[in-house]
Amino acid sequence: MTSMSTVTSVPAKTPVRRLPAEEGVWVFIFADIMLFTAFFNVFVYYRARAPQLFSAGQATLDWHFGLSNTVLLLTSSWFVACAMGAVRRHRRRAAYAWFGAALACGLGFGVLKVIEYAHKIVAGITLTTNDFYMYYFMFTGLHLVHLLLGMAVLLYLLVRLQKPAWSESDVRACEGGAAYWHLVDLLWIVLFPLIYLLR
Amino acid sequence: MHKPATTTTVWIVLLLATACSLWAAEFGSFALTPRLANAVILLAAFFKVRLVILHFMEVATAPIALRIVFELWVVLTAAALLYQLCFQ
Repeated sequence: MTSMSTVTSVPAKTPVRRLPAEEGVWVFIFADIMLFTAFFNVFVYYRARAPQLFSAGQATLDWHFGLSNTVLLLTSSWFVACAMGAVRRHRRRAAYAWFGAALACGLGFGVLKVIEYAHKIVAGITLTTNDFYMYYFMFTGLHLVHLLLGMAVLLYLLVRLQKPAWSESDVRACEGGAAYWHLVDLLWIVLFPLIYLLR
Repeated sequence: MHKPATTTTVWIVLLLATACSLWAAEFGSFALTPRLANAVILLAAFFKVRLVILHFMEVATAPIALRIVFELWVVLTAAALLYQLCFQ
C-alpha cells in the first residue's frame, strides 16, 4: 500500500523534459563552445602577459560598436525565441515576422562589424600589427563567420516554412536553427567584455 | 517550450546585465578597483550566458544530463577566466 502511494504520488505538474532539436545539433554546439573556450583562455592568458599592449589596443576600439552589436544579438535571440513560440503554435505570419526581425538584427551586426573593420584597416591596423589585433581580428572574424552561417540558417528556415503544412520535422529543424542562433549570441556575450570592456 | 512573458523578462534582464558590466568597465572607476571591475564584468557575462542557455536554448527543460554538462561548463569556464584575470 505504501509503495503504491509512493508510485502514484508523482506531482501532476512535473514538467516533461524533452530535447529540443536533434542530438547532432547539440554535439556540434558543444564542440564549437569548447573551441571558443580555448580562444577565451588564450586571450586572457596572453593579456595577462602583455597588459600594456592589450590595454593600448583595447583603447583604440570603440565600445559603442561592441555594445550596439551586443544589443542587436540579444534582441535577435529574443526574436528567435518568439519565433519558436509561433512555430509551435503554427502561427505562420508571426513566425515569418519574428525570424525576419532576427535576420535583420544579424544583418545590422554584420554591417557594423564591417564598418568597424574598415575603420581599423584605414588606420593601418591589421591582423599582423600586434598580438592584440591578431586575436581581435581572428576571434571576432571567426564569430562573424558563425553569424553569417546563422543568417543562412535563418533564411533557410524562412524558405522551409513557406510550405502549406508544417510537420514535426520542420519544427525540429527550426529548433536546431534557433539553438545555433543562440550559440552565436552566447559566444558574443563572452567575446564583447573580453575584447572591449576588461580593465 | 518558450512562454512569451518569460522570454521577454529574460531579454530585459540580459540588457540590464549588459548595462551593469558597461558601468563597471567605463564609469565605475571611482568605486571599483580594476580587479573588482573585471570580476563584475566577467560574472555579468556568464550570468547572461547561463540565462541564454537555460531559457533561450531551452536547456532548463531539456534532459538533465544536458543541463548538467552546460552548468558545469559555465562554472568551470567562468572560474578559469576569473582566476587568470583577478588572482594572477
